[in-house]
Amino acid sequence: MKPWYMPEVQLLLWAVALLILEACRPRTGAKIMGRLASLGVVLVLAGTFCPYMSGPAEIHFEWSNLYYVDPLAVFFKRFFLVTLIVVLRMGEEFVDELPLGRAEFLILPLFPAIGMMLLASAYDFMTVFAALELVTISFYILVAMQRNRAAALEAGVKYLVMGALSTGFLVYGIAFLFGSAGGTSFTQVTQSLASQPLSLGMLLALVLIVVGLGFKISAVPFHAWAPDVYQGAPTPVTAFLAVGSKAAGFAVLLRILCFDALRHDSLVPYIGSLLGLLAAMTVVLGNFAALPQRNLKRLLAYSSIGHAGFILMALSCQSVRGVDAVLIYLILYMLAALLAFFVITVVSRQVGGEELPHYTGLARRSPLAAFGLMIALISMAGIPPLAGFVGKLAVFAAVWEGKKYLLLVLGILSAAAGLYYYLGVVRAMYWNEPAQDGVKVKLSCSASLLIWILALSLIVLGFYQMPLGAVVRRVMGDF
Amino acid sequence: MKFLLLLFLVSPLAAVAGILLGLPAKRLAVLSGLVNLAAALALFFVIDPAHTEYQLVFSMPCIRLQDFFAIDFKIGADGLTLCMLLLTSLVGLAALAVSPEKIRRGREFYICLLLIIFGAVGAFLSIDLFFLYIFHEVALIPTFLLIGIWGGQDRKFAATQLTIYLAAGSLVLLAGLLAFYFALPVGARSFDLEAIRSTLLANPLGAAQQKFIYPLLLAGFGILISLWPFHSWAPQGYAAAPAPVAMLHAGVLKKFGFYGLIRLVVPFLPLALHMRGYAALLGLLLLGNVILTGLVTLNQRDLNLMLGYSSVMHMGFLFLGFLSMSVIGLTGVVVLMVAHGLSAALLFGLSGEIRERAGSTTLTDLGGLGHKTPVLTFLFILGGLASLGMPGLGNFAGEIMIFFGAWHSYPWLTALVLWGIVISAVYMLRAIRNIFFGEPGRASVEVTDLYRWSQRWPYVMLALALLVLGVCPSLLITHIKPFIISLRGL
Repeated sequence: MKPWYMPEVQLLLWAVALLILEACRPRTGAKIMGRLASLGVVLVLAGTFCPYMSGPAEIHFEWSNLYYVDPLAVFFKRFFLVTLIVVLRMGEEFVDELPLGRAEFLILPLFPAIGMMLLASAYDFMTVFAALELVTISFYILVAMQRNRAAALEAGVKYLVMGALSTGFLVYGIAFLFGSAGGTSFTQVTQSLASQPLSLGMLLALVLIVVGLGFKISAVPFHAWAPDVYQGAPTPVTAFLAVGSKAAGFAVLLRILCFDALRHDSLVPYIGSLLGLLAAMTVVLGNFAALPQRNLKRLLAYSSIGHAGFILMALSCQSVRGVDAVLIYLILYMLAALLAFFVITVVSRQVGGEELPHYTGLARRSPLAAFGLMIALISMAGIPPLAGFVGKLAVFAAVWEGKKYLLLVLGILSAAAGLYYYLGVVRAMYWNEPAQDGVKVKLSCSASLLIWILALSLIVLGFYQMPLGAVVRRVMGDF
Repeated sequence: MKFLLLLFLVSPLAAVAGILLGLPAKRLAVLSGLVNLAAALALFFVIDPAHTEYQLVFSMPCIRLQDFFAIDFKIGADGLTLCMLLLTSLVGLAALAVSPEKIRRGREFYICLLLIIFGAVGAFLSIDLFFLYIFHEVALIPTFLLIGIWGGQDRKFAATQLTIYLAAGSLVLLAGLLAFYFALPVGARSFDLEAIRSTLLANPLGAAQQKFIYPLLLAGFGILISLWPFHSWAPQGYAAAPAPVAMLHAGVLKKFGFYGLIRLVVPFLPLALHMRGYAALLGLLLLGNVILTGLVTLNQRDLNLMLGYSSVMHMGFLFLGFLSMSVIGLTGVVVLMVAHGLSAALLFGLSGEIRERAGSTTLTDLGGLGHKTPVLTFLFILGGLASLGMPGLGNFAGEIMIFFGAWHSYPWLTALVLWGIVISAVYMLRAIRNIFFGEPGRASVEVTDLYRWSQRWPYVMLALALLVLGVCPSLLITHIKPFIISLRGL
């Protein structure tokens, strides 16, 4: 197969071409570069639907079994591309805040996206490692992009140190895996699990790899970096970290735990209890630690830890229903989180900060922005009829079926606690009158349109879930 | 005819869309209320009482995944639905009509009210449990905003408390519904009440399963109904809420809890209901509602708080009828649900008028309003008498049926609950005396009557409905009784 069939390669070529163009024509406006980048992403996304561009539709291997294309991989690639489009649109709103490197700020997000897409297709732990490093290293730059702000530098350093640590765990785990399975390819690991009795090395490898990925999805106790980094990073980058990077971690976990590699009956009880423990800690800490937060980005950081907990709950069931729930929850979380971060990007720039007091009376200053943020937060809280509820229902149903009642109780308690801090933001926006010097918030036409699209999709999917069903069925068709 | 039911859902949404486009909010909202009332009256003649299955069913598949849920958007109506729709459209129309035309942030106000009505109507119409659940939650956020933005004293605390309480309650309810779903046999799992019914008629749930599911459902619905001791959100919430919200919440939304219990527990979990421990527990709790809350009501010095506690207290009567599990008792529950909804809406609405005119609802500040406001006085006394169970008005019809039904199996409990009637007579008559008779109070100087018919008609409509229901309860009973009998061939 020809390499240009791969969306990663297409995106890579486009990104490199844009960087070269930027170097040759430095006077080109940053917004134009952003538009060009978005155009490329849209084209690549369209290409994944078009057989001529994306090559053979059936499941197949590439690059001597390092790269694998199946409906799950295609699903996640589209997921990352859609996220990237919204992130780039957010970047356009944000870019004026940067001292320099404005055009790069709009081109660089393509690189972590390439890494994420590669992760979805990885069929060898070495590919996983390489792709994960591509994601992480690109994010080091993006997180610290506002280098005139101390908070951004702090975020960058924290992300760097914690990222390096997690890489260490991951490599250590892969080394154990190599030792016990004799190879790093998923096929080899599966074969060795089937042919040999379960070894201690294999168990250690499992634990270490889950820990390494636990940093990426910010599962407790590997979450400590998330609040500071989310708060310090530029908001579009925060959004990309919270949605893209997290989903990429889950894509790998899904792949190795539920589809291939470590999916073996002998490991099921270990994985179930390991993930169940992580899920319990993550869901409780994420939701309860969010309660006192007054900074919106920090609040969303803890809330995203909480959401990772809900997804881990579903993952720990290792059932078909569990995987369904993970996919549905990820889609709905993506829509809600992107909407929330988009509104925060647009509003914070005009009101001068993202602390809760900056948002008081937002409903009077920009009804649409307040409405969009309310829909996003309420969907995340899982209050019907918004779509987030469908995700929570799917997770709870999977957990119930997996007979993990304690986990279910913790999940329900955390969901109830979550309500309090989400409603706190709604309260500030709607109940309180704006301060005397409260500025009107202006939304551009395209920003309003994007808010409407995301908000309406959250409302409509709450009542009519057929599209979710169609997506999940396509992924799970042969599972 | 098939689309008559969709009209109930479309008309509030259309009004919301119109308001967003900038059309006059109040007129549009009242118009949608009138459409709903007309549809409900039409439904009264369309529904065939002898036929106890769902009628006019409309369905549309929403998600079908193997090993996931099959969820259909499916609506239909039967005798019980009809009663609830009549109640919703009467109270909804009255609430929209009494809302002030000129109010701060008026468009948002009317949109929130219309969304509450939309949610209530949708919940009563849904045949699919998933939609039943999500429609009942539609009202949550609009209520939060309505109380928080336009509420009275202590609005922030009251709104937050109410919202968190109710949301926690619905999470418990969700756990109960999931338990119910997974208790169904593997091949026949469904959210569709019709399908569940045919499955469970053939092989009912085992006693152990019923024993497990029942408390979850009872607590989930019970929090919404304000079953003692889960009631503390209600009086403060209602006291702080703007009058139309209190009318809708106490009149309609609260009744959804009983609606759910009648739909799910009575037909599918009868064993658990009769289990000795559970029956004794519910008996104690409902005594808490009637006697303890009744005594608390006696001590209230504020009209709104008194009405709030009183509406909590009357839920005890409904629980008694529910516990009786007799045809006459359950029929009485439905009649009382409608009548209590109407009388609570009438009283909360009039109390809102008093608050607006006098600037206070403290009983000691008022007095002697009877001379100044004859119309308001007449309507309030009518509502108050209905609420304390005066024969000839709707509540009496329901209460007497409940007591007849419950006497047979729980004579002692019934005898105790009957004291509730005395307690409500004491506080209601005392309140009426304090507000309308005696010396004029500090706040009653400026009070004016409901002079114009445009102010009167919503209350007159509710009062007439109470009167019609009291004189001729058989209008509803012909629709309810066959349905109740069909629930499990009682």
